Amino acid sequence: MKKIVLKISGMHCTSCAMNIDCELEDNISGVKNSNTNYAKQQCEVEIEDSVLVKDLINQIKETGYEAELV
Amino acid sequence: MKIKINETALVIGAFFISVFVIIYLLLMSGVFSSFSNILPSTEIGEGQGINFMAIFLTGLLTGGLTCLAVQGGLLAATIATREEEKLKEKVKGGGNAGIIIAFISSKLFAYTIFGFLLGLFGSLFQMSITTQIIMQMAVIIFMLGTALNILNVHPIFRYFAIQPPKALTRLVRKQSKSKNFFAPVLLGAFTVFIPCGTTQAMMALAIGSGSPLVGAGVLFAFVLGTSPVFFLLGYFATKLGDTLQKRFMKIAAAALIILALFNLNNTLALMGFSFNSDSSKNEVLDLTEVIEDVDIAIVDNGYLPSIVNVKAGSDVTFRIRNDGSYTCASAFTIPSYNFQKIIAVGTTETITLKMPNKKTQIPFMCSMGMYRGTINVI
Repeated sequence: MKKIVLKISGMHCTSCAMNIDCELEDNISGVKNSNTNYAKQQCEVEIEDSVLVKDLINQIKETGYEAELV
Repeated sequence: MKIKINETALVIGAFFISVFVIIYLLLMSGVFSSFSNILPSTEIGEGQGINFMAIFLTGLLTGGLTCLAVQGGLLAATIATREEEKLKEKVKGGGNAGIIIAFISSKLFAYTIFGFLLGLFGSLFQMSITTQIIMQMAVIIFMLGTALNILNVHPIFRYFAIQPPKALTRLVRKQSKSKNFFAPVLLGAFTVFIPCGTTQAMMALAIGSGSPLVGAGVLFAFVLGTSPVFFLLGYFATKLGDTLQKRFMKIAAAALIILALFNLNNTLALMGFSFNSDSSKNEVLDLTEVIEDVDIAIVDNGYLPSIVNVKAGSDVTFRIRNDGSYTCASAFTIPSYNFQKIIAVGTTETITLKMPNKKTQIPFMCSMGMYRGTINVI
């Protein structure tokens, strides 16, 4: 288990943060917990070691936002 | 996602489009400016110095779009779940208009109740003129902060957006995927937990009104305004282009700034600054008539007379009579004497005040600083 932090751009309200968290947790197996903070524009994700960061970033892009590893 | 369209739903959709277009055209032709002049004379119209028509229009023209990002997505998820169920059970037709109307109606109901509670909460802060001023200032700062956040002026303004606890957002999300028949109804009601920025600002306005009924009215007017857009975009499962969405966000921000400035003007009056005196602008000041006993009648749109002349240094008795106004004018306030009294319909309040020894003007007003008058000490 590890924790990574992603910098998010394109969020315009707190509900976008909710979108990202739900999409990550629902669609990528191995994501234990996702916590996106709108004010800080970043997302803390707890993932199993097998999860690839690029999959997380792609999922966030699919949801309509941009993401990069901090 | 492919959504079936049936005739009934099309008719309802067309109805909403027509309402939207008609209101928009009326707005453009300036009809509302005369209509809004009628509103203050009604009990709820501008009862607490809040213009419900402006709030409705904010919802209609911008609010729906700014809130649609997530709530629309959740609604679409509910519709998709329902479609799958129909496919499984091989049920034909039915359309989605019912689901969307159930969602919108329960949302409207939930927000109205929530507005009532927020107004009730706000009324706890209406104990004194000072707490009212602090409360209203906080609301104004929050509204401006929200607008500046929407306009992306500086990252610091992002802290004005209140992020709901994750447990609540999860609850809402779960509901959108529920197969339960009442899921759209619950989802609509639960959206109260995930308000967008514009909605949060309206919620602050409801608190600031300090009245449960006005609080309920604020959120009712706003959510009612958002409904046509929700219906249309929800029905056609359309996603707005980024550019269009951004443009509407800017209009939403501008609307918030205007509402905040309107409130600021009223609050400044409550603090003793007066830039314009609405109720007294049509009256000619007669400097020869100085009175010691002042009779003031509270009417729906303010005070009659709204200008009184009294002698410097004298003791003046004010008899304030409420002839039948349920508006905030019934909360008669003289900020410089820290005097505020809610005068019920059909009753009269008498108060004797020692006037200052020098020539001055003492403003009086309603609890929101909207309806005003002046005591000329000469």
